[in-house]
Amino acid sequence: MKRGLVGCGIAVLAVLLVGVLGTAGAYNRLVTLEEGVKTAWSQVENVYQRRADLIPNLVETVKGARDFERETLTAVVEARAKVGQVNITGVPTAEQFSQFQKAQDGLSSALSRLLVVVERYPELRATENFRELQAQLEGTENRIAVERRRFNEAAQAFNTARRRFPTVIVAALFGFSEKPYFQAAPGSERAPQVQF
Amino acid sequence: MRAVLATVLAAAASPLLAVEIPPTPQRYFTDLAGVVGSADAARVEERLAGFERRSGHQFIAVIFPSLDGEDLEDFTIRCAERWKVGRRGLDDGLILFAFVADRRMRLEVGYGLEAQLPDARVARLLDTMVKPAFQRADYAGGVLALADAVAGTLAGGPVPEPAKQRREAIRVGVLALLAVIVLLDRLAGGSRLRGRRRGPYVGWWGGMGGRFGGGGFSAGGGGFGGGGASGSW
Repeated sequence: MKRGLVGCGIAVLAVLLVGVLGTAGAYNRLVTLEEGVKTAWSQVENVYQRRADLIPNLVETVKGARDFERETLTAVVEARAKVGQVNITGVPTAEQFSQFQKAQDGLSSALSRLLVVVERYPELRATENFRELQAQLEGTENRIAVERRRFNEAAQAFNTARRRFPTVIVAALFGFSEKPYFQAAPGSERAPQVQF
Repeated sequence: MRAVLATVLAAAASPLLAVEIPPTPQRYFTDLAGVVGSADAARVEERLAGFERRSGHQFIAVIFPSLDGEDLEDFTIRCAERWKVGRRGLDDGLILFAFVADRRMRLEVGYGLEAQLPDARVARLLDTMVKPAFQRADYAGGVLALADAVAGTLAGGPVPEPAKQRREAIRVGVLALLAVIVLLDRLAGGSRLRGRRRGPYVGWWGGMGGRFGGGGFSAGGGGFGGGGASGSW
């Protein structure tokens, strides 16, 4: 009888130990993956900031061209201002995230319209200054694509781990929320076609 | 028979290969399109290997037959991520890609060299150095010209700073590991061995930092973030 009790006690302890260890393992894995998402997010912010920093110089250069289409320039300046209004610290919530993406996509489309219009100003296109800016802009857009993909991969790794059983219980217990993804803006994956 | 089998297998595997990223090249110069003679290829190989010996920067070049419908920048950054050219922490790798059928090329620049080789500069180098040679189908000449131009650009500049955090983390990790080893040694009552063991430990750690030599290319663990420029010819 006594022996049976001791045996039961050991079994319960073993189950508890496995439970605690399992919880700790799942928790630690989620923390690691969430750190990965944070790092990826800060890289995303860096490259978008890099693009925003190019705008003043671009606007100045384009302004210099004779009677350049005003509206296109204004659209870029306004989109740039909207981007500046989105303030996010740390990994954004789903709502902040969609705000951020909307503002950045607005700037993307304003910029690609500007580049289409520039096609009509051959003298401007030929200047060293503009070509330099264009190369920088292309490079920045490429880095943005890279960091967005890396963010999505990190978010996906986190979300997949989070939805798995039994990690999902740990996630619910400690309030790990699902991470949002970047979606391709409609039409943004294709370079604008130039009509003559 | 074996040749037939190989052909069948290659044909069966090719739709997969289109999206699969090839493994890290074993050489500095890889010509998958078969457009460079062996003497020229050896010359380029030697030049790029010498560039690493002199400067420490890893610069490799790969010529593909075609893009196979892949997106240029997407494909090249995925290769760069997998291949890890350049030194870990310095991220000073360079990879030149050329796709013969598409007449397109790209130089991927590691994080650590982005300041010295900004995109606009790389675009100009591709346009003025590589494009004319590639137009003459002189692929070896194009790669050599770019390698020389890059070497010239980097020669005057500062050596990129290693990522401090990562280095610090490694140092702390190594110290902790050593502490554990010493502790275990003490606990095991290894006083009689202690005198003899101390030497070999240092030797072993010191030896890890060394390069495993002998021809061919071996990637150092560098990171890329989409720096560089694309071009066509």
